[in-house]
Amino acid sequence: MPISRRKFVQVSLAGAALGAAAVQPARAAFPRQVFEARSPGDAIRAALGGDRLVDSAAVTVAAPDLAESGDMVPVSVATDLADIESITLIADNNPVPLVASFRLAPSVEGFLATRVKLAESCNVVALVKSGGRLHMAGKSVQVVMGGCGSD
Amino acid sequence: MTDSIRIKTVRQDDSVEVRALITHPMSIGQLDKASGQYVNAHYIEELVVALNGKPIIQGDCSPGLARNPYLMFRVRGAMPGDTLRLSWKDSHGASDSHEVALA
Repeated sequence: MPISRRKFVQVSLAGAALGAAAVQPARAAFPRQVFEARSPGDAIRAALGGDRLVDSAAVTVAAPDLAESGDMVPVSVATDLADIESITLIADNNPVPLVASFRLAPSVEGFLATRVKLAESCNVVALVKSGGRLHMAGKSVQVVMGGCGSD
Repeated sequence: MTDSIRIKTVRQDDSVEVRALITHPMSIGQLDKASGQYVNAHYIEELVVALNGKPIIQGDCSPGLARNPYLMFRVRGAMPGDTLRLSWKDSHGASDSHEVALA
């Protein structure tokens, strides 16, 4: 399911702004400050640099339409893209939107499944870095009870 | 922390499916309203999967991953007898790793 137009525009604008910024060299590991980003656009910039963001049909995000509890929401990302450098997960309404980013070797197939916490209903967005672009897709999840409380 | 990692592998046509489960609280801590920062968070920051000692997945994680993190992926070209090792390091400096031989 494609992410909402409003959210797409927001994230795209953030991406367009990044496009102007210099491309950062690849890092061995994220500095922890990356996770201090409090908005999806900042998180993308901090984590992935200024690569061009494109909405992609080659990426699918699978997650439940409705999660009774946001504590443990299964999410999987699948893609047909070749030469995948990384898969990044963002929950756009979480206090810390950047959930995790996985750098993959060529021997790993374009598929990853995990479980995330969702603070409230949101889009779970996956960004697949391949061929110098960030391929984006998302899935909206309705959360009945948020999973980012004081736990 | 010991014995925090469980790994299950299933050989498929031309790849090996790996399911890993890590026992960890992945606590987000509390929001300090004054500073707007989360304090006392306890979560896995770095997660590395290596095949025969060579990293194939390097994950940078936040407390946004659910408690007892689960990761499933498929790797191509892995031969029987190859070793698969998963290691993690958390925000308190603790770490663990576990190695399995592929069937």
